[in-house]
Amino acid sequence: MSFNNNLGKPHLTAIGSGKGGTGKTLIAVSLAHALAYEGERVLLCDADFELSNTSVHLGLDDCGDLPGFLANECRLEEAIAPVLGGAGIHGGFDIIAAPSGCGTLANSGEIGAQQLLGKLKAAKNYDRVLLDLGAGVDAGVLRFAASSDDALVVLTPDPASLTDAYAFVKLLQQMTRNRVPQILVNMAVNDSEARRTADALIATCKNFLNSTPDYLGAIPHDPNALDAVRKQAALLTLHPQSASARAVTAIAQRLHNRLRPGSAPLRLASAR
Amino acid sequence: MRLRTFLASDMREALGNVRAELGAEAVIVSSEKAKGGGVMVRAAVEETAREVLRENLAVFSEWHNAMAAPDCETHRHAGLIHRLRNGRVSEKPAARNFNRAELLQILRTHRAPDALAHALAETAEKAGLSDMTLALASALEKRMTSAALDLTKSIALLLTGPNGAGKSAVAAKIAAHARLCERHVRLIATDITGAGAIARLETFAQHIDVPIVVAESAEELSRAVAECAKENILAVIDTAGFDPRNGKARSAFAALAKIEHVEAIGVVSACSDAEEIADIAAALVSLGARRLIVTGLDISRRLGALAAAATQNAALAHVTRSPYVAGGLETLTPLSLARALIDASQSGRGSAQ
Repeated sequence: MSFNNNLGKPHLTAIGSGKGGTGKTLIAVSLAHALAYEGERVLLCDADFELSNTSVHLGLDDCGDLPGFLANECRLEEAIAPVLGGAGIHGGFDIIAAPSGCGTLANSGEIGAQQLLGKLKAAKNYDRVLLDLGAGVDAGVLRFAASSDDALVVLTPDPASLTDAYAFVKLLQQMTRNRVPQILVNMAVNDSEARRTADALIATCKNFLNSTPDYLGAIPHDPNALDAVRKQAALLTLHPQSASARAVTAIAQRLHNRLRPGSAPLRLASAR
Repeated sequence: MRLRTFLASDMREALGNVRAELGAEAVIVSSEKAKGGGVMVRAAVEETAREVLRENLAVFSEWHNAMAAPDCETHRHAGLIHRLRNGRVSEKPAARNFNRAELLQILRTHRAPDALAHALAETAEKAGLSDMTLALASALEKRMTSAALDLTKSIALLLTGPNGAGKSAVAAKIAAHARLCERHVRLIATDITGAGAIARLETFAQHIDVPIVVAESAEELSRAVAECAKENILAVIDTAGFDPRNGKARSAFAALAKIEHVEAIGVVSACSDAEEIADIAAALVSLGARRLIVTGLDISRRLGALAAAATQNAALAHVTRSPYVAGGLETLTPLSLARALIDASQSGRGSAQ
């Protein structure tokens, strides 16, 4: 069964942050896992062309062949690597990345992003493609975010994260003229701090950009998440009942519910 | 965007630090109680404003070069260029010796009402002070009173004034300040006919997280104010703009101002004709406003209207120089007004400091 409203095309969800170290990759991996539990056929694409590390997070030897797929040397089915049984298996998903530090795709920039987006949009075997974007706000990162169906910006209570997330929102809005990513707060000590963090970004965007990003949710600061990263294991497998795993699951359900046929379309947030 | 975090003993100090460090355009993005006491405020300012200033610099430089005559206007532009080149760092202009004709000229440049300019020049001369600023301050002191709002004690503030004076923004500023003093606040909207008036106040209310109620009649307002008074909530009442010299409108507003617990505050803009403002402020005072708030100092280069409002038979509560809620309410003393009037003619700074 396809959950997608896009009539045979996968729904592209980009996850960016501006700043590095916000936990973007752990979130991308965990969301892919949680969305797969919701029954979606998910492809996780590590769109950090220079320093991909999703495979490191999952302790995978094979992370797929993104350079080969981009160079038309292989088909998508041959370029992906299955994780936890692969897409279509309950809780399993596929991954495609470039080997970390391989350098093949470095400096691919906006053109590389455009090419990859075109190819991913034709990946009919998936309900959703999750794009784990690189840190920074270069043209390639912004192109991925701008051309996806929806974009999430991850930030932490760290002030530098706020300024970088704001830069991400601002540049994305400038590039697309009307799109604003949804906010996902990571590593807040409690709900109150998460809400304050999101509100700070929302207030900044309202004042300076005349736009109001939606608050998607928060993943709390949780030693179990760090433990999963260090053990190179999936958070939802290693600590399924942890606070961070439950938060990821709740966010995945929110994303999934919006994707189901007949549900309200995702609000790609217009500047107002 | 520049982001700064400020730790201070209270909100008033924190906001002062925000303004000093980031300027009037700064936006408070978050505030919370700091561990161990005090407050932590995070504020941001967009770089765009400074970029625009840099772009404008070239234009003003050309303008300045084209001005050959060493008159008052030239001084103003020279001062403006100096300010643009040196960011927010301002040098205090040298003291000027008192000269009645020169003072009169300065007041005329500010478009102060003729009668007021002559009266101030005469009183300043009688003060016998050699410093022009101090002499003018002395003259102003005899005609103006400063009385800032005490938001910890006020019960209901009714903001009245002409259209476009900035009443809704002032209501939001007052509400924001009161909240920072840890006072419960309620915004009361009474302008049910103005297009988008309530929606605008609602936006402000949402932004500063203050509840809003709508009162469609004097009776409803009276009940809403009584409820606030009972619960020790500060009621900030925004009203429709009106001409206080118009007899029919006057009687309606006079009824509102007579509601128990209500203090009427006149709100006028400094960006208006000084004679008009003098008339309007006098009419508001006659309607019961004992204090005035003057808005728009950020865009008003000539301060005659401010001087006219400040010298009415009412106390000057505050002035505002920013459209942003965080820009706050400032107080203005006779000395600071005198300094603004004199310095603006020397340095091009068109607003009161």
